[in-house]
Amino acid sequence: MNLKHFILSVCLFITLSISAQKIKKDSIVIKDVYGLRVGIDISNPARTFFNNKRKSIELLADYRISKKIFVAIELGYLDKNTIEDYINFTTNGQYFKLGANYNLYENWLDMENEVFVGLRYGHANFKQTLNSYTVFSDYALPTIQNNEPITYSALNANWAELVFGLKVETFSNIFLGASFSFKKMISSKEPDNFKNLYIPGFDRVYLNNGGIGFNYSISYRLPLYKKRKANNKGKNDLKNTAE
Amino acid sequence: MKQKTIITFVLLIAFLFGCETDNICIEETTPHLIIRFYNNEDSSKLRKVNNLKITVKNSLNEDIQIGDIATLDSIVVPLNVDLDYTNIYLSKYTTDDTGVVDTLAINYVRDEIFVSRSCGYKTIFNSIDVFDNSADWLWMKNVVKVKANITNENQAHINIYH
Repeated sequence: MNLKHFILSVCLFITLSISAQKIKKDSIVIKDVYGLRVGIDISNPARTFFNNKRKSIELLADYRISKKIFVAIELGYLDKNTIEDYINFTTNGQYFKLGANYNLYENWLDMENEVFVGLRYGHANFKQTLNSYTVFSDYALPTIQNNEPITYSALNANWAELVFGLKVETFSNIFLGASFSFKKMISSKEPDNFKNLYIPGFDRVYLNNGGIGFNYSISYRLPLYKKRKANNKGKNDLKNTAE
Repeated sequence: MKQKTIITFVLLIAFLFGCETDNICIEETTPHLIIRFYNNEDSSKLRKVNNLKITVKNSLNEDIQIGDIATLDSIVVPLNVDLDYTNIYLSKYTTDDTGVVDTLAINYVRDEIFVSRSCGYKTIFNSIDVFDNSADWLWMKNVVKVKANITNENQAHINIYH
């Protein structure tokens, strides 16, 4: 994650925060909408735009099971070429993440915004192709370069993710989301004489088997049913009401 | 208030998970050959070689000088990673600028081992074989292989008695 990504994150975060300020008109009976939300990640196409060696797509969905808890799933595919000083490799595969988000945000009236923390279990099936590598010996002597691609297939990885994010309803049933995650590898099937340095869904694997991720999404909620939201006399009463 | 708690929590987690980057190669990569020089009369004592010039023949058939001419009792020499052998020329210079050259020919089996993201691969040298042409040596008397494989730089691999 470089500076460019960081600035983008901050800009989008601010935009989302501002749009979250809008207040909807009051209504007599306030109800929470329950439904299935499906969406697509929009950071991946943006990253492909800036770095054409990384192609990926991620679909996401969540389903509200209680006032504050949303069961969430993400499905994705990645094809990425990584070039380091002495190695050049391509990671290709798919992944899923399954977990839940807990909404910490107390909405006014019928607003449906979220500031959430979430947990995910992530699993990826992938292959790594070592395209080329250079063995360095000493400044005085020639290096050796191997350009014969070696493919390590049937690799997998399991990890845990801690997610922090927000989702804002911009138009009716249309949500914009931004999230940031910390990842920790639980187990992985490593190739012989190589290492899983990049994993679909996990992205770059750091030295301590940790990782970070960010994500912007746009999603549509399929409203299935509504549940009355506690007391509806006004915003002042809401705080005193236990659900 | 709640916002502050969240921000603190995020920072705490970020600190705990903290990604250790591996952008700079700091691990040990391809090991060099370490040679120590001993006294031929008393094999337990190190003996310096006066005005030693080290030259290695690379895969392009060029003679590459390693370091400066110096008086040393141990030397570190790179090996060819693109050949299964390395010829090392050890020239001992006398005061009148004439060198006495002895050749150390080493054969080995190369093995490439993954190190890390930033270092890539290293070569280790297995089953090293030192060609004994003591009949032609001018100042070296005996060569003893201390290690069968060159996998690290922790210890000497070859002892030369002179």
